[in-house]
Amino acid sequence: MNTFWQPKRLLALGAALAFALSMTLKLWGMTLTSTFYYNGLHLNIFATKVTGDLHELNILNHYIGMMNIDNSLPEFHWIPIVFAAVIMISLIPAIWPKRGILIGATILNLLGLGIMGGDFYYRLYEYGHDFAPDAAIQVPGFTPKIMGNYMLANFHVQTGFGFGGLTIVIGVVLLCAAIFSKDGNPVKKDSGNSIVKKDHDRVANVEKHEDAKPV
Amino acid sequence: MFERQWKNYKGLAIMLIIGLIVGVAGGKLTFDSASQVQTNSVVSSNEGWVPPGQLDQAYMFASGGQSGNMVVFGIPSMRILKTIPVFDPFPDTGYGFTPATKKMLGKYTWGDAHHPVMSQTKGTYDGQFVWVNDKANDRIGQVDLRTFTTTQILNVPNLMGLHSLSTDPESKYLFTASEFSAPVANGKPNYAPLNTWGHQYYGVAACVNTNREGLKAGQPGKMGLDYEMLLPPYDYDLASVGKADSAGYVFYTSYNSEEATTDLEKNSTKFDRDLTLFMDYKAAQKLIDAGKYDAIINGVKVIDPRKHPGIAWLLPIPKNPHGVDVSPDGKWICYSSKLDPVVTVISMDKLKQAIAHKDYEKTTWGLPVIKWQDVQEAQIPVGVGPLHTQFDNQGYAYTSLFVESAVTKWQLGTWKVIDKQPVNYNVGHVAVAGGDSEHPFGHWLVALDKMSLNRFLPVGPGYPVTEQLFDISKGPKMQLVNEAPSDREPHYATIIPANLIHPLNVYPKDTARPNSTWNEAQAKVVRNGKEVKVYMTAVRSHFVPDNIEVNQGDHVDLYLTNIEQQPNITHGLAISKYNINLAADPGETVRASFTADKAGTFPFYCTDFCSALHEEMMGYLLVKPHS
Ligand SMILES: [Cu+2]
Repeated sequence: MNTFWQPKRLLALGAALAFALSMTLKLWGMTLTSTFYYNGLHLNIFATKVTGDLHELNILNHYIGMMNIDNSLPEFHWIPIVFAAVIMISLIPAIWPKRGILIGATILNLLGLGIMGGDFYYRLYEYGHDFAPDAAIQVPGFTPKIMGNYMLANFHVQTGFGFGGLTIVIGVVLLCAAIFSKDGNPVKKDSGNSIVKKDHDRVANVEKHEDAKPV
Repeated sequence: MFERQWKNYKGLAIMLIIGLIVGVAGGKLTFDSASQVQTNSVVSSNEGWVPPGQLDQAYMFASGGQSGNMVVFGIPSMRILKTIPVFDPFPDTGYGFTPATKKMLGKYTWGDAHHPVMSQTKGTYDGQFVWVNDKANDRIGQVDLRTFTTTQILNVPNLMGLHSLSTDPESKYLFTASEFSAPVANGKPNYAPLNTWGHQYYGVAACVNTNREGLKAGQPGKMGLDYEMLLPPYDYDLASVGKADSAGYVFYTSYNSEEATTDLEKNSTKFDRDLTLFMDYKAAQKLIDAGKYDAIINGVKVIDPRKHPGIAWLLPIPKNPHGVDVSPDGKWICYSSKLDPVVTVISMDKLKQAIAHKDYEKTTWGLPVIKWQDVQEAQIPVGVGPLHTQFDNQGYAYTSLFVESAVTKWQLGTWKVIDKQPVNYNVGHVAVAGGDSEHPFGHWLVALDKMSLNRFLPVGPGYPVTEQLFDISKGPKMQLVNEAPSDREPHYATIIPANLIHPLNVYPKDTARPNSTWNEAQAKVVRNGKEVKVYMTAVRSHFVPDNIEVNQGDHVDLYLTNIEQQPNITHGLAISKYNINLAADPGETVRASFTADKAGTFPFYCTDFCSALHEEMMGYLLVKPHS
């Protein structure tokens, strides 16, 4: 057992688990609060869906001609696939815990995560700039801050990552930790310990055996 | 123990009659020499103060009298929270403008709402429904407290002056009766000369089944008439359904045992005691279940209690009784007599014994008359002009004194008067939170005063009425903590702690609802010959469709769905010069149905200031002329 569960494997497996969690947790969120919306209007981005007060947000956003925020975005089809790939790639070094494989997996995953992040930022930009030209209220383009606290017209806006964002960071950190894990060849060390232990056991057994001998 | 004989009170009686007149005119006069003319004012109390942004502790549902509606107050602030239209059209909410509400209102344009009754479960207010009577047109309205809207108006045939309303501890039934006796005729006008009073005129009691189980929020009600009962031709005033020890009985008051048909002021006040009626409704129900009713009149099963002993009895109660109120434990039936300064308490125990022994004084109108001396427990000298009694959760009773303009607090069992406080002025009903149920909540009492002279800024010769709030939780003395004017005239009110009411804040989106449209892309105009159906959506700040063209003479059915789900965003739809006024709360679908008989161009617009671009929320109905 101990020979198998070496840190590299564990760390890679942990990374895969963290990425899997990210698929189900809120990645990013926005809350808009005003006098009337005293409980705040919420927007929650997941890998697979967007939830929150979408109906109300879309009603308000249509005044400035913003595109509808809903679950028909193509991202909700391809981002889960990328996520699945990230999870699978993390599992490869969990099976073959070689540093080279780990480095490759980490680079691939950072690439996948980067594409998702870039796309997210592009969508933020697009939603903040691509307004219907015949909207009632003409506003200059803006890109919501990814993390922050600011005023937008009469709304106090709070944005930030959800737990899903945190688990992505954890996943990446675990992969890096696996690469730099100095415990490069722990198998021998482990087996050495085991042998000593086994010897001890054997001695104990012999003693027992002798005790059991008829006088 | 406080028994009084009428002969000792002849002088007082004359004074009382003068008192009623002067009391109405002048308000503040009292006749009890022990009390003085008083004006009540708030004594350094901020209990009635609810700071801005904070919520009240209780709801009060007050009947609107001839305003035909129900007014919701917050307690203790006495702020008016809402008017719920019941028997009147009410443009505010579009009530009486949709086919469904028009149909409910029928041919009447008003009602006279007196007695709101809160629904109960196990003898406790459950906050689900309030029912209210219409004395003018003999109807009962049902208000659903999830939507705060009227969901049914039941016409009650065969009786005139539907005044009383009371429910049992499970609110399975509502009981009412005719304040005005009248001829009863099947399928023809109920005409009969007044000199046929003794044999053609009847009082009528009605038992209504609430059928309230399983009704969804805002769903049309299913109240129905179980049966009616013919009564002697007296004037049935109030009703109180028994509970606990008196469960299964209904007690009515009545005046005019004299059977006067003219100048009732003089002619119905001759007897020392009037014959009031009480009935065993479980026995009546058994008759109905066994099919042993005596007639079907205008579609209602009718029992003639003279033919079925053990169903109804007469009980002599002093001088023109008005209110009857059963104590929370059901042991005491408390009658208030307008022309006798006492509350007469009848023991349910003794009443049951009298019935069991069949030891009656006489028979009148074919019904046994109870020997009142056998069943009367006490008479409480509450003061002049008692009308109604309510109860708290600590064994006290509170009786309103119209003539004396006061409320008297007295104790059940000891029958001692504890406190008396003046009110301003001429109180009709008092309402204590839960005060007519087996489990009163106590704490708050509202005196529903008929006069408000000098209590508020003058507003011309027509005065509002006063609602005065007392805290009855702080020791023996009742403390006035707030008051508010309101439109004339709440008769009675029912008070319930706020946490027992669970209203919707929007109508949930329901795509299965017939004729609703939830997607602007599906909003449309469908023409079938001269029938035009418009499926319209409303959302900030536009209607879809907003240009509608029809031909003169087309019949238009317009279904407006407010597709908002944000609480508080109501949209209206008014069509100029077409007398169309709809109001759709978030998630609601409402309908206008009209014939486009006027050709021309008619703007329509949103009547609720829903958004900054509210004015822009408009459109055109074009009605193309014939040729
Ligand atoms: Cu509007």
